Amino acid sequence: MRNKKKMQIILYKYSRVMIFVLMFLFFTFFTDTFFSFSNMNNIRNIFAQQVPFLMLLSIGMTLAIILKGIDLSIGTVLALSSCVAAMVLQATGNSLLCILTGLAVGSFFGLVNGLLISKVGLSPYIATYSIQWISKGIAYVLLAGTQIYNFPGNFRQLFTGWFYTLLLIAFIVSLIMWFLMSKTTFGRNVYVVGNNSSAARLSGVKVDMIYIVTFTIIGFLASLTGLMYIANLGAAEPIIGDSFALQAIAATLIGGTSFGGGKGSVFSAIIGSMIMITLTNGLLHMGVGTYWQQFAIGVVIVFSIILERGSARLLKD
Amino acid sequence: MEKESVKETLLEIENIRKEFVGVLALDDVSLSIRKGEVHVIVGENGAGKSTLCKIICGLYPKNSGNLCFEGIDYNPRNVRDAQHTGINMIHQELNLLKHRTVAQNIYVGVEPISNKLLKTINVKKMNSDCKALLTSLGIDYIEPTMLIKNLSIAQQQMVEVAKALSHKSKLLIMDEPTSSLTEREVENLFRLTRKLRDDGVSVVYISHRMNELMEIGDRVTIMRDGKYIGTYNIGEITMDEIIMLMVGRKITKLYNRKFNKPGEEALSVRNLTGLRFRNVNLNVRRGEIVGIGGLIGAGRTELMLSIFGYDAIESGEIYLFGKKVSTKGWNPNKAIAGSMALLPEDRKGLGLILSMPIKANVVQSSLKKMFKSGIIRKKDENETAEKYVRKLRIVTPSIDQLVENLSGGNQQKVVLAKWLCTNCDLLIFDEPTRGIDVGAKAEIYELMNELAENNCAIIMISSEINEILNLSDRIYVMKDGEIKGEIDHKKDVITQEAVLSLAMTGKAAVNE
Repeated sequence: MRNKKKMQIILYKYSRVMIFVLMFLFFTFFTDTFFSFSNMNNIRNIFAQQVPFLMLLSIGMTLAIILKGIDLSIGTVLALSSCVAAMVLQATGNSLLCILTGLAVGSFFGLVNGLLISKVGLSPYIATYSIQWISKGIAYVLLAGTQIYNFPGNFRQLFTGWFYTLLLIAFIVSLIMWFLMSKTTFGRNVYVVGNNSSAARLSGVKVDMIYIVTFTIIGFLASLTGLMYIANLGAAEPIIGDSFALQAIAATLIGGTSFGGGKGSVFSAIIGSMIMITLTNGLLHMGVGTYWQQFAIGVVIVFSIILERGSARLLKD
Repeated sequence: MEKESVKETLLEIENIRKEFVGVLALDDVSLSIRKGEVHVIVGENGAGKSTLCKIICGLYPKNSGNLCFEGIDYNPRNVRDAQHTGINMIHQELNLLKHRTVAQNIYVGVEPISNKLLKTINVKKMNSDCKALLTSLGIDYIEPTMLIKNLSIAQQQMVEVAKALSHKSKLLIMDEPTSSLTEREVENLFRLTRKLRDDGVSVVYISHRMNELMEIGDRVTIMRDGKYIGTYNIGEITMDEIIMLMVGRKITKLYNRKFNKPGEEALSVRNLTGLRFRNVNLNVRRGEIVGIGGLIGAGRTELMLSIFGYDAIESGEIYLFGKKVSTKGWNPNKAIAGSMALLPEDRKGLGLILSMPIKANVVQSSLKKMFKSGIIRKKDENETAEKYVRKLRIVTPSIDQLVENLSGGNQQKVVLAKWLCTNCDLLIFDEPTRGIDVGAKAEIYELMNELAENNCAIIMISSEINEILNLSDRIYVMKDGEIKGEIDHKKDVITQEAVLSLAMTGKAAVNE
């Protein structure tokens, strides 16, 4: 009986990986264009040009959700920081300066989120929802309805010179974030605060600091993703991040991170975003329209949460 | 009160067995509850008292055995079934809707209806019914229209009692109803319980407070490790015998305090004022246990939370080991760095991270000290946790066990382990043994004694009179946010009257 339970726990633990594999096999068999060994283009494209963005944003969103919060501003901070970066690039032609400015803008708005939550005492929903409007507004004002394209210098080369550069960056950042969250005292304190911030404070955790640093990291990740995104696209405009926050939330939920706080991992964020992108792309190859894809994502989220409940109950007994 | 005639049986419990995944919670338990008696069930945590009661009131299904209520087979599928039969339970945990009124909570689901078609609630009738109920309970200082969140924990517990009593019961089960009540409310509850009994209602009463069962009970059933040990008439068994049967061994002495010669001053507080306390002066020396007595709501917990930096301080001075600390920006982090520790009254809400394993909780406050590089070494974490689990005899299958799965006594030991791990010299215990069974209590007292011997300073808030009388070098008594007096075990004999007189009237007892 104990062995049976152990098996069940393992099954639950790796259920997301299995879902991913099964989905992958399903689309491989039932479509001609999704994946075959003679034609790997589609898969290469998915992993080089779609997965990295969602992966990084989901990691950021996972951090916020572990802290029993959320970051609704992730998409618009991404848009604003990439627009500012593009403006700097256009004005100076200096790629390094452009990258640094972009990252600084993103980190700054993350910092503001953190301050609003910890020092002003706003709930994460309210704080990041306001910042969403504010950053979006600034981006629109700055670009005044125009687009920036034809980037000067080697900016695009830096990110797209090798086909897999974006994936590599995402992979390295994931590794760092995994290390930070699971091996360091900082990561431990993030989980502790997410679980019970009052008990954390009484145990000597600098709770305000945890919020501020974490949301700054989220802002940094958003702006990094933004830079990668405009380099890949070759253009910057304020509307680019509109659906990103909701997509990142979806991927995080699919990965098995619950909204209760204190739980979740970098790995779940990665597998969640891979499942989500495989699903949408696979359905596209089966000829299912984008409206039905949205429907499917909703179903997968519900299914995923039910799965998570089951495993939580199992681990509790 | 002599009632010699043997009353007829109301509920017959036969060979009940209940298994949770891998754990036998109830093993072949049989007993009978008579009509119109107060039947006390005692046992250590995990003895199966609550499980048995939850089966009777339809919360858990049983694995095997029979229940027979008024001679008829009784198989409740849920709480409603039990209520229809006439069985109600007052739970240990508070299950109230925080943002609703007292009346709305008491009549939830059974609100009086003023219009049959629209099912509109007759608020006037509900509130007046509620008022009458509260008055009959002697708690008319609680208004039907007050919001639950504005009530103290003790008041909330009384609302819970009122809710259970608003239903017509043949059998009323009370699971530790007094754990956070004040003396007066306990008296009210007992008066009511006796009245119910005289009206023919049977009461099953679970409590950890030994003197209560002698006061209120007619018969007592003792359980241990899921087994039925025996039922006795109160008056035919002594407290010591009950305790021995409960723990299965003899506890020689619950309080075994050795008084030490006090050392240097650990903490001195001068004219401290905060939201719920004023002009507090107190001091603690190494090797002392200083008790803080008083009634619930006297401001003791708030005072200690402020001294520890968790709540704000308005004015006054704190000296920690001779050094003045800046009360501006004073926080738990600095207090811990100053070698302080606080074991809060609200163990689950403030003391522990319930859904994390024992090992994470043990090292939580020592992370910075243990891992200077900021990287957690698993081996060190495991070894430290193992060490404290052994040292404090925490009963658990492994250090990976989630704290929420531990019993109250073991949870308290984990909180203590967390602080011992920081090498603290001044420990504040807030109600250290609330909800903890006798066996674990003795162990906690022993540990406190040991700490004092090893030159630590200890402050202990306690509402349990025996605990504070027997363990303290000195006692400060608080009332309405002020310290009303100090009693020293060397100068005066510390008596219950002395403490209670200060706690209730703010004046020293007459014989002083």
